[in-house]
Amino acid sequence: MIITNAKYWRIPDSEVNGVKKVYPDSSIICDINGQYYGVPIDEENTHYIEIKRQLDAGELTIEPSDGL
Amino acid sequence: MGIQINGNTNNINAGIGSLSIEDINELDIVGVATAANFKTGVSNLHSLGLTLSGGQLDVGSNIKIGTAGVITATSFAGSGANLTGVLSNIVEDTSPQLGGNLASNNKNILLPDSTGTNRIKFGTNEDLQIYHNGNNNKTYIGNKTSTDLLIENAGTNTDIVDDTGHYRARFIKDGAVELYHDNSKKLETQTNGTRIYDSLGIGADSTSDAFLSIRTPNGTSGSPSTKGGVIIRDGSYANGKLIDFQNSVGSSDISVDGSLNMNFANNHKIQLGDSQDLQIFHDGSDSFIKDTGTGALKVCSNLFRVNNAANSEAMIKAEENAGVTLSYDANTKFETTSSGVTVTGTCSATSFSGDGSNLTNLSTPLSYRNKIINGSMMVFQRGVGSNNYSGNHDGYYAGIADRWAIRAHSSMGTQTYDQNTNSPNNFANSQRIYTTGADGGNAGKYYVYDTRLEGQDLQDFEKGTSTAKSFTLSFYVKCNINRVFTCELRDLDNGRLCVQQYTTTNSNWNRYVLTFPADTTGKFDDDKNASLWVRFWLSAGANFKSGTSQTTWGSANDANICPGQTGDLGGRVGDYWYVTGVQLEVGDTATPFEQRTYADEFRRCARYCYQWIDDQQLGFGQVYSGSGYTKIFPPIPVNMRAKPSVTKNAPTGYWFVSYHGNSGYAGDRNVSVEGNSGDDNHQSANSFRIFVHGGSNQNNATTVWCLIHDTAGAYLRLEAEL
Repeated sequence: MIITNAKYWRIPDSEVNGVKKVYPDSSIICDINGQYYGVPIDEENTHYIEIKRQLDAGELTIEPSDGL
Repeated sequence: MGIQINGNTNNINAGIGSLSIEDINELDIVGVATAANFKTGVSNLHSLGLTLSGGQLDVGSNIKIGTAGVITATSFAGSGANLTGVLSNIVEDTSPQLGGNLASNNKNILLPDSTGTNRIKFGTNEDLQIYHNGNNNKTYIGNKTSTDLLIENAGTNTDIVDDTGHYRARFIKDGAVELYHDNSKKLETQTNGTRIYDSLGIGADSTSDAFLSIRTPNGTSGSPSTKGGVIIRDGSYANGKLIDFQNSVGSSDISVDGSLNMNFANNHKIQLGDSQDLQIFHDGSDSFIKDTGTGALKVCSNLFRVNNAANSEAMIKAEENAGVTLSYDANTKFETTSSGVTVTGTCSATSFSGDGSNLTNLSTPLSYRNKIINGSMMVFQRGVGSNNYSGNHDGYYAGIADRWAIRAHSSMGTQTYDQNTNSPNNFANSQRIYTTGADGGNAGKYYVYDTRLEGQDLQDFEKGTSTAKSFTLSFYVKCNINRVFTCELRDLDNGRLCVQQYTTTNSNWNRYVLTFPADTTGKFDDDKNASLWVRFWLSAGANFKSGTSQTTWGSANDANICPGQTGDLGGRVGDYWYVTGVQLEVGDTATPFEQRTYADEFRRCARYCYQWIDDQQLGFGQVYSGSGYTKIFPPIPVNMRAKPSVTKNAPTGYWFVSYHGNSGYAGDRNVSVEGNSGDDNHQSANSFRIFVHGGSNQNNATTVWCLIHDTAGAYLRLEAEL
């Protein structure tokens, strides 16, 4: 599985009862085998499992998410 | 003139040369009287053969009277009453001997009855004796010593006949010995054996009370004594064996006992047929009726029963023009009828087929036995048409059926995939894989078509337990390569695998059934992650063949997957491999393929992949965070296995459209899946939401109607594959 252009993504901040809510990174935006993918950070998602494996193996780097 | 002597001169005349004494009655000579000749009558005495010489008087040549007082003569006549030293008859001779042959002279030798004497005896020890015993009135030719008795005959025949000339026995030189009964021949020795005329009886006679009687077929009815053929009768010999075939150490192998039972010892068979086709025997533990030859074993009867040994309980009954019944403990449980079958009690089976619409109170479902999803190749969400792929491609592609994936090594040439209508009769579709560009071969080459299954759906295999069940994989394949191919089951939870192989021998559709043994090692995890990998190896390089084929479950080792595989799809342009009807079941029996509706199969596939294509609506969403995002709660037909990845395709630069009223905004925007994926490990992530990234001209909090852009090929796809 060839993964490129990986970048974390998180939901933009929101406000609940006047309290700002900041979300953690929730997805990784990347190309898998040349195809755009939004991969959730979920231990049961097979794409994420492969991304994590490549990340842990040093085969992949992921850009941090944009500040929102 | 004469000489007168004593006054009588007339009686003596003497002439010249002679003296005649006449008329003298008596001549006494005191001295010696000599003369040249004496005459009697007119004959000279010596002319009559009468000579006297040396004191012996010979009369002729045969009568001699010697000086010793012995008279010899050719014969004596007259009364010999006063003779002494002469035997009056042969009886007086106590040791008579023959000086020559004894001629019978037309007379007989008469011997009276014998009680010890009156016999003709031969031999120094009186070995041979011929006599008639008056006490029992029998005549004997007896050899009284322990020597052989030979009857020698240089002639042709030696016959024993009665006084009428009827034969009793004949001994023919250089030929037969014949025995007769009442002048009728009954036994004859022949060049190659012995012929018995009429009947042979052993025991008593040949017509009755014999233990063994072999008879001419002189009757077909009546008492046994008048029937022909071979007859062995019990007689009074009730406690032994009439016939006994024994082995070399005297053990009885086959016998007929006095009760006329035929007995076969253990492992001695009644064998029928030219090739011992039918055998009946007992091996010491069990009894057998074996049909080992050609044709069927037919039991022909209008009323056939199988009863218990005591003949008190029917177990199986079959009746002509009626039914067959099977019983349990004398109670009928299964009975064929004119309308079908009646089962009394519980009926269980591995599977049932046919119309079950009238079944009631079903406690066991007849479906859900096939663990494979989309085994009939009905669902191709990613695309049905032909699509070419080269080199390394690993995963889910257009032209590959839902739930199935391709694993292709970088050395692969070009392969084309599509959903195809070429299929077995009871299927509409198949997966086709065919080679349009050959590869050059590589030791690391792998080319696999496979699917993965969740562990929570496999618990009934009881893998990793003492009651583990076997796996039966069945499928239909059509392939032009007549070679050996490998199927692999991979336990992804425990790193174990097992393989079986099948051989394609023609290019027709054929169903193959492979049973994998049970594995008592390594349980499948009871969760929604991949536990079992079902893999069809289409080609394998040397790296996957160098070990020993792992036909029982063992630790995963690439080298042990494909030893013996000769099938190589990809090495030659034009080769093809079709597959459909893939079924994986618990146990060792392959049942007919479990056909499912499209809707059922689609929903199963949608748990792992679901997509919206051009002009399909995603539903209502809301613009979020100014105009930057749109969040959507997508309608999905079934809970997905896990929080899905999302991908999209915008062939014209647009895949997403959001409408607020009649004002729409389209673009090729990034997208992600967010939200709770579900806390319960067994609960699929159905609470996620889709975030469409990027700005729009629509204001914050605007509710928008979201669609897939209506250009062909546009789609948004969710994937929660294993």
